[in-house]
Amino acid sequence: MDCHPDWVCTSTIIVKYLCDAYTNLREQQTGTISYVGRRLLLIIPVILGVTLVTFVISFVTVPNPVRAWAGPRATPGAIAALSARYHLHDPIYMQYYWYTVNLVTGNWGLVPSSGREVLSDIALFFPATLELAFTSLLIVILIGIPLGFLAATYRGRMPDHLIRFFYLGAYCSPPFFVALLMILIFGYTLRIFPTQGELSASLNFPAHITGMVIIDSLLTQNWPDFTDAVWHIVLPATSLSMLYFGIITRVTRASLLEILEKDFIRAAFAKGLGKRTVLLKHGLRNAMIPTVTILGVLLGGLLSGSVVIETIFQWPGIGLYLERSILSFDFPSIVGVAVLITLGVVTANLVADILYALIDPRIKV
Amino acid sequence: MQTVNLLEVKDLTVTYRSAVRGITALNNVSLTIEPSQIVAVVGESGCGKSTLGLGIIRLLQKPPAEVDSGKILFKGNDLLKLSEREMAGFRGTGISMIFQEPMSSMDPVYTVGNQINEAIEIRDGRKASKSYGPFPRTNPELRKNTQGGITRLLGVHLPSSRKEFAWTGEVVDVLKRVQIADPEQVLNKYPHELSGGMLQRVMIAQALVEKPSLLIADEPTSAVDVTTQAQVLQLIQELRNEINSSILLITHDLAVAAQVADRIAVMYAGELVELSDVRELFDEPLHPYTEGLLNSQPHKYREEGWLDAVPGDVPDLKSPPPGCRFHPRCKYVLDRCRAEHPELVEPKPKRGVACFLRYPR
Amino acid sequence: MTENILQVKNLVKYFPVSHSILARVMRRTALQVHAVDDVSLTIAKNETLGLVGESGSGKTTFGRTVLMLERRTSGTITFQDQTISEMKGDELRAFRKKMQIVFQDPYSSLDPRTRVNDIIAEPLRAFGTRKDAEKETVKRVATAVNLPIDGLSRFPHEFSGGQRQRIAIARAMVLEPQFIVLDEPTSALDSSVQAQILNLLRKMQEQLGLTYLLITHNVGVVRYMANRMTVMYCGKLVEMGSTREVLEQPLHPYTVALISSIPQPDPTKRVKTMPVTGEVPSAVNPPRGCRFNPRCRHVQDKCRVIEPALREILPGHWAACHFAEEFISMDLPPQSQKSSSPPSKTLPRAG
Repeated sequence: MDCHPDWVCTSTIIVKYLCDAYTNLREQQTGTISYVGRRLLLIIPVILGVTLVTFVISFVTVPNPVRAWAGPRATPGAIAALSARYHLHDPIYMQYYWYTVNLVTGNWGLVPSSGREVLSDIALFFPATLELAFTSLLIVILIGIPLGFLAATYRGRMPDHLIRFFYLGAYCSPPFFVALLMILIFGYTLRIFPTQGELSASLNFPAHITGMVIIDSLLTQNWPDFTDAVWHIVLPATSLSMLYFGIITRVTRASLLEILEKDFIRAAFAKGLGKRTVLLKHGLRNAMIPTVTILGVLLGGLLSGSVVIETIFQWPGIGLYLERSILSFDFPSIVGVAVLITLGVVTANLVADILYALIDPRIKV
Repeated sequence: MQTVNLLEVKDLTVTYRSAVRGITALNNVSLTIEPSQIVAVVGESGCGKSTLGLGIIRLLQKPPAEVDSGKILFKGNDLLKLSEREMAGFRGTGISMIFQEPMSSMDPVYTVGNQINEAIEIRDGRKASKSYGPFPRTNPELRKNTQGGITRLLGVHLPSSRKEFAWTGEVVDVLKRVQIADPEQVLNKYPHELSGGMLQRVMIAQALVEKPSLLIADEPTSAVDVTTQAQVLQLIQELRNEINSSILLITHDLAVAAQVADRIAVMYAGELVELSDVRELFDEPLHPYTEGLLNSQPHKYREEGWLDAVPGDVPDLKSPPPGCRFHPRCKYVLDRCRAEHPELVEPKPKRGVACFLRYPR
Repeated sequence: MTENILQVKNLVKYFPVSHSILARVMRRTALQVHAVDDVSLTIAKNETLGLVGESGSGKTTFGRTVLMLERRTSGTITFQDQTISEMKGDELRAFRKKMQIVFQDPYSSLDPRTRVNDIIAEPLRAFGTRKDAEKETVKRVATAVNLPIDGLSRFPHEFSGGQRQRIAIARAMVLEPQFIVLDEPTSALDSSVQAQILNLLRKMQEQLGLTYLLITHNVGVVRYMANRMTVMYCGKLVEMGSTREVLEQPLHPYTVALISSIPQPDPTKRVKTMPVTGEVPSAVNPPRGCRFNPRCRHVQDKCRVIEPALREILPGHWAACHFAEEFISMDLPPQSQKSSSPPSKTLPRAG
C-alpha cells in the first residue's frame, strides 16, 4: 500500500495556515475586508464537503465505477487508461485526493459518447443558463418587489387582494405547467413570442465573447440578433420566475408590513415626515434587508430550477445538456453538471451572506 | 388678560375595538395647555396617558383605536377634523413627540446625522424629497466628500465610507447644545452603536431643531439611567426656556413630574381624576388616588415605619368597576361612589377633581 | 450577636466577548467584559443589604454569581461558614434550598405554559416532597403572599403584574430559604403596587427571619428596605455603609452624583445643577486608575493612575476614593440631607 506521507504533512500545514488566517481576520474585528475574507475562507470547508459528497456519489456508491466512467461501450484498453487516469485502484482516500486535485485542475472527465472533455461541454452550455437565470432574477426584482411594496401599502384593499391572488397562484402552479400554458397562450394562440431556443434559425450567432447571446449581441452591436434574442428569452424567463414571485413578493409585503408597525416609523411621522418619504426612505430600505438576502439564495434555486424549463423551451443550457446526458448514459457529464450546480448554489449563498452584512449596519462586520 | 390656550382637549373619548369587546382607553378627558407651559400627565399602566399623547398627535393605530367623540383644538384648529395631509403639516414644527425607547425610535439603517438632517429639512420647508430612495443624498452643504457612485447606487454601507461625512454647521451645534461630546463622531454612527442616554439626547436635539410649539414626551426617562434622567429633564426644561415650547410630559413617576412640571394631571383607568398646579398638588392632594400615589413613594427609612400602600390592583379596562373607577381601592369610599360616576368639579380655582368627597354641598 | 450568613471575598466574573470555536482551539484570548471585578462584602443574618448601581454596573451579574447561577472566574463565596464556591452537583444542590432568587421581570420569569400552583410547587417537587405536604405548603405560602387560593389553577398571564411578582416571591419562599437575592423586584411594577410588594417583603423578613440581598437602581427602595447599602460602579464597589449614613453623608463622588440626580416628589426641591456628565464606561475596557475618573468633578492626577481601594473612612463606612476624607464636611445638595417625607395627610372625611 503506497501511502504518501508528504500530502499528510502538506495538508496539515495548509489547514493550520487557513485557521490562522481566519482567526487573524476575526480578531481584526472591523472592516468589510475582514468579513468578506472570513466568508471566503469559510467557503473552503464547505466546498470540501461538497466534493466529498459528489465523490461518494461518483465513485463509491456506483457499483462499478470503472464501467460507469468509461461508458457502456468502452474497450478494455480504454478502461485500463481510465483506471490509471483516475487512480481507481488506489485506496479510497487516495482516490478522493486525486479527485479533488482533478476537480481543481479542470479535469472533470471525458464524455463517453463524444470523447470530449466534460468541462468544455459545460463551458459551452453554461452561459445560456446563466443568461436565463439572471433574466429571471431581473424580472423578479423589477416586478416582484414593487408589487410586494404596493400590496403592503394598500393592505386590505383591492390592489392587495389582486396581488396576493396573483403571487399565490404563481407559487402554487408547477413550473412546467406554467411554461406549457404560456407556450399555448403566447406562443401558439397569440403568436407574440417564439417558443424554442435562443435565436431564430435564420439568424447567425454573434461573436462568442461571453457565450450569452444577449450580451454578445449587445457588445458587438448586432441589433437584429439582440432584439431576436430578447424576444426569445421572454417566455422561458417569465415561466421560470413565476415560482419566485410567490416568494419575493410575499416576503417584501410581509417585511414591509412588519417594519411599518415599528416604533421608528411612528417616530418618523411624529417628526413631521410625509407619508411618501416615510414609506420610501425608511420603510422600503428596512424591508429590503431580508428580501435581498433571499434573492441571493434564490439565484441558486434559479440555477437548479432551470432544468425543466430548458427542456420545455429547448433552451441550450446545462439543463438541456443534463437531459441529453441522462438519455445517453453519460455518467461523467451528469456528475459534472451536479457539481456545477452545487458550486453555483454555494456561491449564491455566499453572495447572500456578504450582501446581508453590507446592507444591514447592525450586523457585526 | 386672557392667555390663548395652545392646546385644548375637550371631552376626548377613545376606544380600542377588538373582535370581542371594546376598551374605553380614554373617557371624556379634557385638558388645556398654555404656551410655554409644562404639563405632566401622571398615571400607572393602563390609565390611558400614552393613548392621550398619541391621540393628540393623531398617531394612534387606526384599526383598533377609534376616536369616538371630542375635540382637540391646537391654536384654534380642530385636529380631529383635519385630513392626514393637513395633520402632517402640523407635525414636526407644530406638535412633535419623543418616545420612551430611544433605540427603537430611530431608523437602524441610517446614520444619526442623516436623521437629524431630516429634521432640519422638515423645518426648512420639506424638501425632503432629495434624501430618500436608492440614491440618498444629504444636504450638500453638510457633505464634504462623496461616496463612490456605485456604492451609493447599491445603498451599500462600506464601513470606511462612513467616516467621510465631515459634518458642520447646525447639525453639530445642536448636538453640542444637548451636551454630546464629540458630535462629529456621533453623527456618523448608527443608532445601535450609541447608548440609550445618548440617543435620547439626540431625540431632544431633533426637537430643538424643529422648534415645535408643543412637544409630547412619552416617558422620556423611563428607559435611561438615573444620572441620564436628570440630564434629560434638564434639557426638556431648556426646551421650554429657550424655544418657548410647551411640553406635555407623560410619566408614571410623580417625582419626575415634580421636577419639571407647572401643572399636573393625574389619570386613573382612562379618566382624569385630578388637575392642579404642581405645588398645590403636593401640598394638598384632593383625590384619594393622588394621596395614595404620594404615600406609595418609598420616602421613609426602614426604621421609620411602613408605607401606606394602596390596596388592590389597577382595574381591568375590559370591565371597569361601576360608578367611580377607583372605589374598590379607596379608603374613603361612600355608597354614592359605588353607583354614580363622579364628574370633574372645581372646588378651588384652577384645580379639578373627580371625586364625590369634593363635590360642593 | 450578628453572625455573617454570606461572605464574598474577591469575587471576579468576566465574560468573554466573542467565543468562536476556532479562537478557543487556537487558544487566542478574546476580549473580556469585566462585569464583576474584585468585590468583597459580608451580609449578616436577618439583614437587608442594598446593592445600588446603574445599568452596566454589574450588580445583576453579582447577584447571580453569588448564588452560583453563573460560574465565577475567581474568588470565594462562603455561605453559613461553608465555602460553596468550590462545590458542584448534589453538594451544591443541597444549598440551593437555602438560597433563592426573585427576578426582575414578572412577565418573563414565570413559565407561561405552567399553571400557577405548579409553578409554586416546582421547587418542592425538585427536592422530593410528598404530594399532600406539597399541597399544604403551596396553600400556606400563597396565603402568606396574599394570592387568591381558588385562582391558583390559572396561568400567569391571567394575573396582574403585582400578582405575578407575588407568585415569584411565593416560589422563592416555598423551600423556606434563609437567604434571598431580590433582583430589582419592583422595577417593572406600578408605584401603588410597588409599595404593597415592598411591605410584603419586609413583613416576610420579620416573620421568617430572612436575609436579603436587594439589587436595585432605585435609591428610594433601598432607603425603605435596607439596613446597609453599597454602591457599585463599573464592576467595583465604591461605597458601603449603613443606609442612613451613606445617603446623608456620601463619601464617594459617584454616590454624591447619584443621590443628587434622583428626583424628589417635592416641587420645592428641584435639581438645580447637572450632577454628572458623560456615560457609564464600557466594561470591556474600563478606565485606568479610578474607574470614575473621566466623569469626576474632583479628579486629580493620582486618580488617573492608581486605583483606590475600598477603605474604612468613618467607622462602618467604607469608600473607594483617594480623597474621601475631604467629602466628610462638604456641603451637599439639599436633596440628600434628610428623608423628604411628602405629605401623608389623610383627607378629611366628608361629613
